[in-house]
Amino acid sequence: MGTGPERAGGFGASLREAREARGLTRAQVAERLRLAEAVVAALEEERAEALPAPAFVRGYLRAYARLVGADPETVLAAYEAAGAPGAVPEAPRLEPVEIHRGWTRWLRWGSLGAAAVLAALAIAWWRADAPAPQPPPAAVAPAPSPMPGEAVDAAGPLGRPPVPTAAPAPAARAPAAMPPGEGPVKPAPARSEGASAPPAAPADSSAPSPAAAGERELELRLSGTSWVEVRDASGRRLVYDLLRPGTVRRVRGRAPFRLVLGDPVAVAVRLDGEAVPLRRARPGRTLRITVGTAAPSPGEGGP
Amino acid sequence: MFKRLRGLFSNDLSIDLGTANTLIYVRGQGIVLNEPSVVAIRQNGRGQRQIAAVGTEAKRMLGRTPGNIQAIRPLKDGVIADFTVTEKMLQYFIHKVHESRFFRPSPRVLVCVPCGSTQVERRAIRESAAGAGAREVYLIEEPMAAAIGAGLPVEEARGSMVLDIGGGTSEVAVISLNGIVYSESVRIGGDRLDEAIINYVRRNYGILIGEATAERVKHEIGTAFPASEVREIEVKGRNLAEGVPRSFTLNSNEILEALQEPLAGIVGAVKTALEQTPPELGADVAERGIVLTGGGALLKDVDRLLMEETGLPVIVADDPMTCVARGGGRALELMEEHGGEVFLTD
Repeated sequence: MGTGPERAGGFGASLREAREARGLTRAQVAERLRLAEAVVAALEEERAEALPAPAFVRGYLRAYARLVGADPETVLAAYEAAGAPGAVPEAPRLEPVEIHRGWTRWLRWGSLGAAAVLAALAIAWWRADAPAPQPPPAAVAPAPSPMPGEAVDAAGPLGRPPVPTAAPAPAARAPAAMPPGEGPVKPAPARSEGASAPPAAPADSSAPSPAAAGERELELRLSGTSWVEVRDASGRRLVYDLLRPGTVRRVRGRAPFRLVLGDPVAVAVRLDGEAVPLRRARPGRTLRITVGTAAPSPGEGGP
Repeated sequence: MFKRLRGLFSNDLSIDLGTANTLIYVRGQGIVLNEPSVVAIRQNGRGQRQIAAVGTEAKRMLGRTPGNIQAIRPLKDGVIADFTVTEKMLQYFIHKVHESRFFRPSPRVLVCVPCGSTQVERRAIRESAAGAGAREVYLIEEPMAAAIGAGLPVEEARGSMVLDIGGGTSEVAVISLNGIVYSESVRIGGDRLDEAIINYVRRNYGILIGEATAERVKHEIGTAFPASEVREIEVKGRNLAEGVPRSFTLNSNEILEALQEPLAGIVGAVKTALEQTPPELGADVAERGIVLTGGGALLKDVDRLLMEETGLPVIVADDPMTCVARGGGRALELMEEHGGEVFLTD
């Protein structure tokens, strides 16, 4: 077989040589392969336009090669080398595939990253959201008199109002309340400073600030030492401390207030300036009462 | 929704869920899996069934299992015979293809079904592919996939005839303009050829051989047309009269004789198809020839037999075993390109 790299690849020529070496005519080959003689001629002359789709041509070539004793693979290789579209589409498909895979990988890590960022944002938002109830009351209270009401209020949700110190709280409070964007950033500082806020001294000056909508004022006047705990309707702790004799503590919040008095005999309670009778007060016995259940008139709830 | 998301990380697959072999073609990667459709199931002490092996490993167990292991071929005649086992097998194969993946795969899957299968059988295939984790399941008729995989110009207004000889069924179809004009499926395939060999040996030698041995005989000396050279193979089997294993020799002429009956069935199907094909398309087929695909096309001289029987040119496609899977993959690509679902069936 003269399969040189010369013109036309030579698969047709090599088949013809092999056929002639076996002493077969084109007609005999056509007869054996059940093909038209014109097709056999087109195969030998490598006239692609006279041949059907490559899939068929490959089949014909393989059968022809086997018939004349040539190696089918060599013939097919020569056919492909001659520029015929071989086992069709593999080659052009590879490149888009590479791109596709890279894209998927990018997408996978990208979406993982996006999910992580989302999760982080969600956590940040949630944590910022928890102390968020803080700003609204603060925004209401400071308007009339920044000092006492606000200090008390700031301490309210955070648990321990009393320890008198200087007055960093309002300062810290104000920026925290102003830009909502900053809210999430410094919940912790606001909290700690609020906790050490100084309500006692200003509270003694007894400058009642006007009630915000629906808020009532509770006054506690102590004649002896007593544990006092006050929660408003939403359950916020307004007072939670051991109060000394002579202390006057005013707190604002939504009625009804729930009170726990360690030594009720030592405490005088006033709601909006009206005395609340503590009928069941016994010296040395803890008293739990609810104050301000009926809207205007101070009433005493059950334990 | 999660399936859709996971789908971003899975490749589209084309599965040739064959009776004998399951092939998986991954878009852009080619054939990535070619394993026998065999599952070995172990029954443990508490009566629970577990998968012991799948694929090649399970096939080695076929006919060689102890009582508590059962090697099953979950497909028979091209359709699902054991639903749950098929599902497990598909699951295993799909996972194997996505081995190195970080996410649980959820690919779009195109499965080839025999054109003679019923709606119930198609639904079973669809469900088991879905159960194996497929996001979407498409079905395509096997001859269509085979023709595309063989590189036939299916979109032209010319008839192409394709004969796909599989493990369980043989399908013959005439295709033109992306559609099937005529199709016929006969439940004769590689398995029937093996069976014919087993029966022949038992009848003529009084010796029982196993399926695996019969298949080996078929691969090595099987032929569909008388050839000048006679090949021989030494086989061992159990002598029925003596009850002990004996060794004996088979030659290719005997196998040819053994295979006559099933081969005649396939030839009959092709002839019927030629009779039923509209004349214009028949003329196209006569001019260009019949294309053979499927593992059965590897049987020696089967093209020669059909050529003699029909008087038409018969050619064997390149790599006939994988034609269906490749064609399915190509169909997925074409689907993407054209947006339509031209080749699909339901």
